[in-house]
Amino acid sequence: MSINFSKIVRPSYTIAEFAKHVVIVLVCVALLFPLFLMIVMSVKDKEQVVFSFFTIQPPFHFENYLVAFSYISPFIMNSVWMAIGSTVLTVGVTALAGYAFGKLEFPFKNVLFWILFAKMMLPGIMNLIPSFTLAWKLGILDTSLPVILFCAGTSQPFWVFVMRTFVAQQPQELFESMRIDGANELQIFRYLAIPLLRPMLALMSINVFVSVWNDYIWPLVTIQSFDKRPLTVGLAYLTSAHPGDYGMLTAGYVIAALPLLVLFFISMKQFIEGLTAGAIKL
Amino acid sequence: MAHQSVPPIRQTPRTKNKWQRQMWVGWLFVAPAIGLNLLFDWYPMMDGIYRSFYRWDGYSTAVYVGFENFRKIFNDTIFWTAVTNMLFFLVMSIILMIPTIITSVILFRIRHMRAQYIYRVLFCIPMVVPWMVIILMWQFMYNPQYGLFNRFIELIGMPDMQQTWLGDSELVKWCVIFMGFPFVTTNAALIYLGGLKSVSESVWEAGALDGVGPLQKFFYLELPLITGQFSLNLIGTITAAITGYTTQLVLTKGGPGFASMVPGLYMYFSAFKSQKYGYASALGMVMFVLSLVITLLSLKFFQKEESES
Amino acid sequence: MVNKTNPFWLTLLCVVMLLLAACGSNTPTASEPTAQPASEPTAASEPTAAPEPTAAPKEYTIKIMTWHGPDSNTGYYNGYKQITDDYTAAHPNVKFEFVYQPLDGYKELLDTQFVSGSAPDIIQMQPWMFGEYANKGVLYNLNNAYNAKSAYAEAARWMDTFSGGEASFAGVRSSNKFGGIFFVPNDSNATMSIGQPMFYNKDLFKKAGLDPEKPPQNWEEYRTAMKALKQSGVIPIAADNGRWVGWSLGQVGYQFGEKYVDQFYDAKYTSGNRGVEYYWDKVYVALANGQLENADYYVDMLTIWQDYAQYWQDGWTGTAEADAPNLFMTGQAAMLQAGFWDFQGYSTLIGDKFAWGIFPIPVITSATSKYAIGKYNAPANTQDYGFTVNATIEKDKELEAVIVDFLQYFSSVEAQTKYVNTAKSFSPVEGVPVPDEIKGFVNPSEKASAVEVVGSSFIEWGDGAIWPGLSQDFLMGKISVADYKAKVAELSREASKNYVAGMIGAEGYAPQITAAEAKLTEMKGDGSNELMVKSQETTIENLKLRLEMMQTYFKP
Repeated sequence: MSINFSKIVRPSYTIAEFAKHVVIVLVCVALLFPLFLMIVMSVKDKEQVVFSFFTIQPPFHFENYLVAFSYISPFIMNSVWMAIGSTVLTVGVTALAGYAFGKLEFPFKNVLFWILFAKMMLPGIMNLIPSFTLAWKLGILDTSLPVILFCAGTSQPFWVFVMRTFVAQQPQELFESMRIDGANELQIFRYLAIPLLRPMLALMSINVFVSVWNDYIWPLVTIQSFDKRPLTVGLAYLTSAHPGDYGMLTAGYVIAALPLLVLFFISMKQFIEGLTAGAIKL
Repeated sequence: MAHQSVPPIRQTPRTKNKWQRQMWVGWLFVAPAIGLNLLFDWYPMMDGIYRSFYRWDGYSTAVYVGFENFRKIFNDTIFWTAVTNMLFFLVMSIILMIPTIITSVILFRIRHMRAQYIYRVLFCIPMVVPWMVIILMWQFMYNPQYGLFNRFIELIGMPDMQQTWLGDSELVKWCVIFMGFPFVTTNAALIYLGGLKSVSESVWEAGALDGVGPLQKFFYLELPLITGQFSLNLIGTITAAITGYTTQLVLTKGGPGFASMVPGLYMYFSAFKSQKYGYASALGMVMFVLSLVITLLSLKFFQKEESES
Repeated sequence: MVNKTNPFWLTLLCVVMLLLAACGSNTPTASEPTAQPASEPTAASEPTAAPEPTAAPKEYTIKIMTWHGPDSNTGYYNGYKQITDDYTAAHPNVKFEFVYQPLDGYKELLDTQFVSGSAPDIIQMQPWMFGEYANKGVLYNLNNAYNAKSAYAEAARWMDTFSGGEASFAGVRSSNKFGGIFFVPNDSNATMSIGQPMFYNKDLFKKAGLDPEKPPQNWEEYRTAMKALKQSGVIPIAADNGRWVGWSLGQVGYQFGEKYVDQFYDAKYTSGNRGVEYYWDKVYVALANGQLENADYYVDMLTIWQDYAQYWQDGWTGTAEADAPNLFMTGQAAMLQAGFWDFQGYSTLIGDKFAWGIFPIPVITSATSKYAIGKYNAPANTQDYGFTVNATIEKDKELEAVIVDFLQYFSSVEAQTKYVNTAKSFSPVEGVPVPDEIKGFVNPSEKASAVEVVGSSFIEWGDGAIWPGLSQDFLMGKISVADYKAKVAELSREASKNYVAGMIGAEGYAPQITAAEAKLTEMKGDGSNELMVKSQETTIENLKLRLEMMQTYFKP
């Protein structure tokens, strides 16, 4: 057991340290440039987008936001529930499976792992009609279930692999010592694996959440009731009502991104806590 | 070594018992994931593959064509052009995994924890930007007439150097690659970082005490520690390179000619532009085999490298 | 659609539905029920054999699917809404609900709704969709209704109220294996040559020393203008790597090969209406046999097209569809092809930045090629855009009658006249005036008379995944005319062979003929009106002839 590393070593502001910050800041600037551009674009009208794409100049069309909000707002909560449901289920089953594949021994383990592994390599663009037919036969159309269940079914292979790698890297003694202490597998999962995996679970949650958040065609075809549909449907209406108006559309994107940003700050906190918890365990 | 998990009493190891218990727990833990995956991913997929043996236009009568579709793929020059292009994208994207690795190590070495935390959040934020905005941005950069690049080239007084970028058969592949700038992927970076962070601190302390240089530390300490994470990201990169096609679909339509055509786009076009669903499914099968072979070979290769070094 | 929901899942569904009830409520309808007093001047004469609604008429809510939304900058939705509101006012028991879905996702939604049997009653479709969905057996055949009298017109048959009459539906019949008519046309006109003209920048024309008020009339003048524009340092044409490849091919291609395919067939397949009605079958068979790919005009046609490409902007193969209009709008390109639906939007965006106008695609005259037709495609004399009806309405005879009656009202002169003025669109119905705003998009009738043009079909009927890319290589001069021709011919030969083999095969025309004959017997038994019986007989005769023609001429 040791205390957090960062607290021992005092930050020293040498040239090397400064250089690190410079590199990372440059990377961040490059990564964030599209976001900056998106915000700038969101207050432009059609003409400004075409004639001055990269420049910032008045007049600023803040009314874009009002219009975009009126299209998106009725659907935001639907998307929130759908994304939360999908994330909880998907992350839950993935963590369980990842832990089991990483640290437990059981027959056919490799076969089962291969089922998931191979699926990663299969392109899925032909799946729409077969998937829809399945959802229809199951009688779950017009609910959030097709989105949630199919998300849990399709988005986990890579992440099971991630979880397995992280669990497997941890020393076996850690798990054995808990078994010696009399914990059952569920307790080990809950009190050891989960904290260890926390950063990856946070990262995975963000990924799953964003992908459900941005999904358009699948919820569109499986949810026919207008008022149960997700916000991407609102965005599609917005695009269709203002064709070629990228300013208006990006205003919609910005609004759609705000809930995601909130989520990021929450999960990033988890990320940090996870690291600390992990460090103490070690 | 092995232990009973019944709480109070500590017993002598009963291997068989433990094995059985773990067996059931293991199956129970993986059952939801496997079950959901089989039902909601594999089943529709197999439904589609079953159709690849047919000439089929969506949902009317399917005509059984046996392996004809696969025979055709073998003789389809455009598919093989697409595969060649894909191999270029694949090799480039594997090489371009390096900036992410370096960035994550630098980020990890930043000692100011608060700053590190802020950078991590900043790394994540671009994930909210929809790809449409990114593609639009590059469109306004590459455009030969009013794009940023050509205007810049004109500004520095070298108008002869102006290019048609995406319209140039030689340049188009490089342009598509360059759209990944700065070649740092959030997911991969945070996975590496997580890998580095989860290593016991005594390792780092030992490294620090030895007084090794930063470069040596990178090659002998940090890099070996993240080989597991590297394999993960490698698989992600390979899969994305083999099945991806969105950029080409929106920006180049696989052109000029077939200069930027990739198998994923060809499959998409076959299914939705020429209504050859059976052929498209067969293409998907071939891509699957390709991905699997390439992934396994590269994993083998890198693991061998690792054990040699 | 034979699968039944398993009771277990139904139970689970109920539980889940209860859990999810928080998110659920009623579907909002786009149409507010109008409670105006009912006046029923014309609804008395029902065209079909359905029982007359008496005493308390049954309530109906008819779902109409469209990609035109209530808040778009076009007037289409308001136009449709006006018609349905008027109809509800006259028939208070019939209400309408618009299922609005933008084109992005339209087909996916429709496909899946057909799978689950929940597709709307009336569905707006694009021309290429009619045949596809009809052949899948999911659409209602309106042939009988078209042969009955419309309650809202004087003509003997509903069909006769459309511009071009019966003949204008011949092409439609040939696009499906039933020889039927599966839609009610709208937003188009079969007897007008509606062009998709070039928009041009008058200021740039002036700068290049051209008379901005005299846009090019023929291909030679067009080339001169493009050359002058290029020399003056502007881009003559704004091109893109998507639709423009097909559009530019169409501009050139459909000025060649009038009635070209008829030479391969006996007169009985080419005379009268059959010329148009069997057109597609004839082209498919000729393509499958490899007869079209060596047409005498192809080298000329391809050479002109390839030559045309030098006047497109540098790097056009890297210009996405949405990007090309920007070149025109920023005054860098002098010309852009666009449709009448773009006119309003462009006017606003361009404003007073430059003077601009439109001119029809220049005609290729004998000065350019001796094979050129030298005139515009005649009014297609074929109905294209419109609304189809879900086949499931057949199960409910009363609903069937209501929908048919509504559609007849929909294409009445009265409703259409109101509609075109709201939507600023064309009407397929005879006697409906063209709104002033869009008159400029109609090609002058004295120049538009080319019929049954084979044009460049041997290219576009090939593999849609491949020919656009091949064409780019060809237009950039990377492959020769001969190589290009050989490659695209191979593609269309294969596609056509599959099609023809399918139509000759067990799932093609044969079962349709059997079914149509059974229907005829049934119609004769129940005393259907004479015109309908006659039309059914014609349908059978035509199907048989089409099958016979394919069997005779197709040489696999």
